[in-house]
Amino acid sequence: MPIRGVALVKRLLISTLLALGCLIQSSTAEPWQERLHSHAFYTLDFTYSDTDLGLVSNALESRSYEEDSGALNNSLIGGQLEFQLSDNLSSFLQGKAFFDRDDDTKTTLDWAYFSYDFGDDITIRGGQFLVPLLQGTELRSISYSRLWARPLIPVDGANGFHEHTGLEVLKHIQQGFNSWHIQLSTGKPAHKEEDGEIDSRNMQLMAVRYQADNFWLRAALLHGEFTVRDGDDEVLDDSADVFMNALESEFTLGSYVLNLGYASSDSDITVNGSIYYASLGLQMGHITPFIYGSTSREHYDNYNEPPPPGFDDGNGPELPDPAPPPPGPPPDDDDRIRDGNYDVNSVAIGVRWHAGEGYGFKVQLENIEQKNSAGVDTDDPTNDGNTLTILFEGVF
Amino acid sequence: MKACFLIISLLITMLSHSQMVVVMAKDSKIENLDNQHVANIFLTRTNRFPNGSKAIPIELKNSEIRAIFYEEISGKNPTQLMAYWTTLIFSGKGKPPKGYNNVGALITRLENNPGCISYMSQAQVTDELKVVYRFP
Repeated sequence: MPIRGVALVKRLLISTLLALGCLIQSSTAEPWQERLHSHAFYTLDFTYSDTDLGLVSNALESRSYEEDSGALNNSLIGGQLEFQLSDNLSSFLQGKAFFDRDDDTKTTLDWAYFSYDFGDDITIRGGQFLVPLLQGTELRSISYSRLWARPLIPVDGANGFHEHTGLEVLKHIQQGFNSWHIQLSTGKPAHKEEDGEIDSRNMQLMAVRYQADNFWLRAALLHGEFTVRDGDDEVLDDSADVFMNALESEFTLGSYVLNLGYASSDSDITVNGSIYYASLGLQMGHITPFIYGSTSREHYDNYNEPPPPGFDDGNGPELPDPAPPPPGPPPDDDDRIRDGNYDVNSVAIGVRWHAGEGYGFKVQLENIEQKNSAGVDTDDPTNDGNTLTILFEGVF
Repeated sequence: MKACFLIISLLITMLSHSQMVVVMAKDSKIENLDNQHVANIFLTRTNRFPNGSKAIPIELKNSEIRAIFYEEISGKNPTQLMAYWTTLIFSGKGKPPKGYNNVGALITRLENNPGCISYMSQAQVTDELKVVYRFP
């Protein structure tokens, strides 16, 4: 991903320079300094765990913590540059630096696109984007944008599709103080197993967000198509589909803020998943104590195994019942994914302190329960445990 | 003493509020806006005026009336406003109005661009600007 990102940046920079050469003469409204906008974000995260534990992270990698120890490895810093090439055309870059699983510094380019304002509150943009299934999948690195210490979305986010290269159309409809925001995306997604078993082909997404005075509601639908190979590089399905949907809302009732969210995926061959979350915060000036609970499930089918003798695919003549399994313990297949689930349940209590405009602190105590009946190799320990997180976050 | 301070603060706030106006260039084709349009433009919910022309909201950085203005149009305090901008900025869906360091630069920009719109105290309005909205 970084290599592809660097190549894309180079292409974008060259394109930007060429476009600048053509457009800067005609764009006389503002000097270039006034057309350049920059922003940055940072999170300094200290997390203590009472057991060996893997956690969701701010970056697109999970985080491992050792028993009775703390680490700063969920910290990151990022920046954004937007340059207004003309009244209607702009270019946009956003990336971040973070610690990878080996505690080495790693950089990624998350957004790189050109945006064109067609008027009538319609914007078309082309380039590289984060997949906007849940609101938090676009903002997972921006700790300041959420109440909680960590994103609720697992590392594989939109079923492994975390970014895509293609086109997006944004339409905004304003009705008094209420508004509709429609986002259509199409392109080639990148999958976390891109170099291995999954070869993604295309993706289409539609997200609609309704904003009223004291609540918003957001719904998203995604369809992706991909090729699946087994460990021997044999194609299992060259046109597998995944359908995903998500529903999120936020209600502000006096000083209370209620967040509810749901997302699920249904895919051919690979993992099916679901996530539910709910949180309640109480705004008391600059202090917001909160509680939340979330549960996620990934369901695995053992597609590595060939169909057993007597397998009934429903199309042939009726077959006799398969022979019963031999007596004794099941064979040791810990290195294989079994039919089953990987569940993570989490409850947390915390407090957010907006210390100033654009920066603040969070303290969060979280209990995590994990059950890995599918025997998924998560790269991280799947124990139950408790964590304490203290973080400093900001944007500017 | 505390009561005195509160009363004085209240009077200052009321004074600032009563003198705060939304302005554009004198040759702009926009004559009047309502509070909904002002709110939607400055919160970048729309980038168009009611007549379809492009709206470019701009403002003075660190001005005393900035917090009052946004509290009035959105009900958000500076902290809540920053949280609002954060979700838009870092998903590429919007950005706050361009900020200027001094009122002279702001007024020059307003006077020379009929699409620009800003807010200021009544006393700062020049002959080359016109008021398109007054806070009640």
